[in-house]
Amino acid sequence: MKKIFFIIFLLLLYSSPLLARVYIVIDEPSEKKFPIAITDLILLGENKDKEKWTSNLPDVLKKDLTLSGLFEIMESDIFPERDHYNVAPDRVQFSAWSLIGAQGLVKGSLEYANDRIIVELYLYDPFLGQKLVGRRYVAQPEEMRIVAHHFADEIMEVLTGERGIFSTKITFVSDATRNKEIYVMDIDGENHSRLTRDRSITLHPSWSPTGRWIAYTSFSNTGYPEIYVIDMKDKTQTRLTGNQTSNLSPTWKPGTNLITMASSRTQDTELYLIDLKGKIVSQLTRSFGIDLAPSWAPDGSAFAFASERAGRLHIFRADADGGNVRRLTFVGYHNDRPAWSPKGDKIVFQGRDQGAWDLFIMNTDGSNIQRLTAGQGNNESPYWAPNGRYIVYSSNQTGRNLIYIMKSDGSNQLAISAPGNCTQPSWSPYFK
Amino acid sequence: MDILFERNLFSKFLLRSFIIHLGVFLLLALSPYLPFSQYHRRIERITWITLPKGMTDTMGMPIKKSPDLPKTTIQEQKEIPKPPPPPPAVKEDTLKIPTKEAPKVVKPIPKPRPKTPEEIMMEKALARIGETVKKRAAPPEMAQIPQNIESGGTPYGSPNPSDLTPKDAEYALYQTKIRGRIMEEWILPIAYANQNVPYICLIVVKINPQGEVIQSYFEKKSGSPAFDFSAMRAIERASPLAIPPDGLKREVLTEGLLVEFNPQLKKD
Repeated sequence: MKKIFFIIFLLLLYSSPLLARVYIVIDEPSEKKFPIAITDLILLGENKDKEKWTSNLPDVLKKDLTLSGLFEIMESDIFPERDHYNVAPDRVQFSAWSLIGAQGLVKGSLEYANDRIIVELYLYDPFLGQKLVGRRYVAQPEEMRIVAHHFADEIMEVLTGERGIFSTKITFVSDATRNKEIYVMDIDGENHSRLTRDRSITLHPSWSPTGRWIAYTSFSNTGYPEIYVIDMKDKTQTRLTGNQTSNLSPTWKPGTNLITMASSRTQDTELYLIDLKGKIVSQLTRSFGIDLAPSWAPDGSAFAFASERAGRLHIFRADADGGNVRRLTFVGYHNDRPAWSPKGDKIVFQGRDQGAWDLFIMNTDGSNIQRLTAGQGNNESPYWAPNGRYIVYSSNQTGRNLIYIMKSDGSNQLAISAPGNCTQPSWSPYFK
Repeated sequence: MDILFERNLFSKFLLRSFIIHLGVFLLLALSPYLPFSQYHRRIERITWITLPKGMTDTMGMPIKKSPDLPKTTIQEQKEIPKPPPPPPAVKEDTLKIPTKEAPKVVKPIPKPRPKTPEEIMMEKALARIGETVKKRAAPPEMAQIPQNIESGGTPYGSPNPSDLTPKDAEYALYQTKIRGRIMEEWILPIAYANQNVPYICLIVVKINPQGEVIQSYFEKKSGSPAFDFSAMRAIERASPLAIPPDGLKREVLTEGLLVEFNPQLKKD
């Protein structure tokens, strides 16, 4: 009997060979963009929508999300709900939206109440059938763009965990009036306005860490390039230097109201730290050969700058007091305008290569230099978005100098329109 | 009486044997700690890993100094065509070395006949293809890309350390194909890609011999519905997957694939 059991056991063992599951590791999602559907808003109450904000507001939202480089805006002709009248979470047909592959869905309504507009906006996840964000805004008709930018920020915040940059601004130099003046605009290139009326040459605008001031260089009063600041509260301008030499490329030291500038007050161009009254706080560099274009690390512990001390113009870094200078670039022959990332991990700079300026990015110790732009005219004056994800720069790839935004890996390069030749952009900080 | 005597003798023998064995065991076990041992410090740990391509910058090994600024952008480097998949496994019988050398036959060299227009066209086309391929050769800064998706290397090490036999090569190739296909379809909610939250989910996927997904269920959930949904959607969209090789058809149908979604592995 035992023998029979033993034989049966052996047979069983033989008939079931060990099968193992094939193991697959997926450690990286695809680079496909996140498909999001944005519907027109429903107009509630009386029809006073002269400016068509029911479609204009979603358009602003769409442009913002396109600029972010993370979203694929779905075409409206495949939308399953034609009338879009189901806005409330319990009435949206989530299964229909998830069927067309929408991973995010924006719906909303708009209502005129006296001279104000009440806008309600929702972001849904159709697959989960959940509301991710819902906001109600009461605003003037001229504030509709602000509402759209604000909701774009909300979408970014909930989907990426990082604060959006759509409510920030960009300042730049334009020759739209034939003189080079300082302008400011929304990050989608709209809503631009002129800040200076110097009728001269103004250069290098730079936003202060709090967003209150913009420092810049102007030739207007003395005929020499001097440093000025604009108070963004009342748009008044103050001249900080008056030494009748070159005072260039002002940039702010993070967490302070101090401005770093390159000045040739002692024959050689060196970097100085000045306060808002123009008083020199300290001299940062003392070496033969010009030093210019300083850019601070976000914690203010070090700064990068361009210097000719090694013969050709190269990128260097120094500690906050100007000591411990280290050379960062050894390749190329003309590397200028470094910009230290707000995350603190990268430095972007412009390098001259094959007769044109192009943008490069490297680690803050000078390692791993990578190219961001190639073969598209001159690409200059890189500057970081406050979240460290995007870089704004100017390019003449279409013949005219325009402001461009790209992701920090060089993808999603998009021009944002503004009048005239636009150069030397500077991105604002987050406004509180 | 005899039997009793023999039993006593046997148990004595057993006891002695046990004591001697214990002594030898203790000697061996304690030898590293004994003062006369000269080998007690020489314990080395060896960890077997597979190095993925182009991760030298994260490993403290500097990238080779370039004499000039890089010529291609990060985006251009991504567009460079991936190397072709490894050739299919060689059958064993083709590897047999012929025991006898074939007798040499001296043949008269044939005169080159004039080429037909088709042949000339074909040669030109081949030359053109050759030139394009040369142009597309990976630039030196290729090594700066963190990791190529198709490389198949994972921080877990080689999928099968003994992939030397033809069957194992085929197995690894199948794994690579499946991995690439699911990765292509995985659109992760953006928040998870940037956060250092260790979301991991495991999905069992059963596949019929045609490569279609016939069943998929969670072996382990991440705790985040959005993350789990994105993974399951990727599996659904990726179907039909590559046709499994004959040697695996039964496994993938009955046991299935175990797919681990784990973005943290990339960062480690």
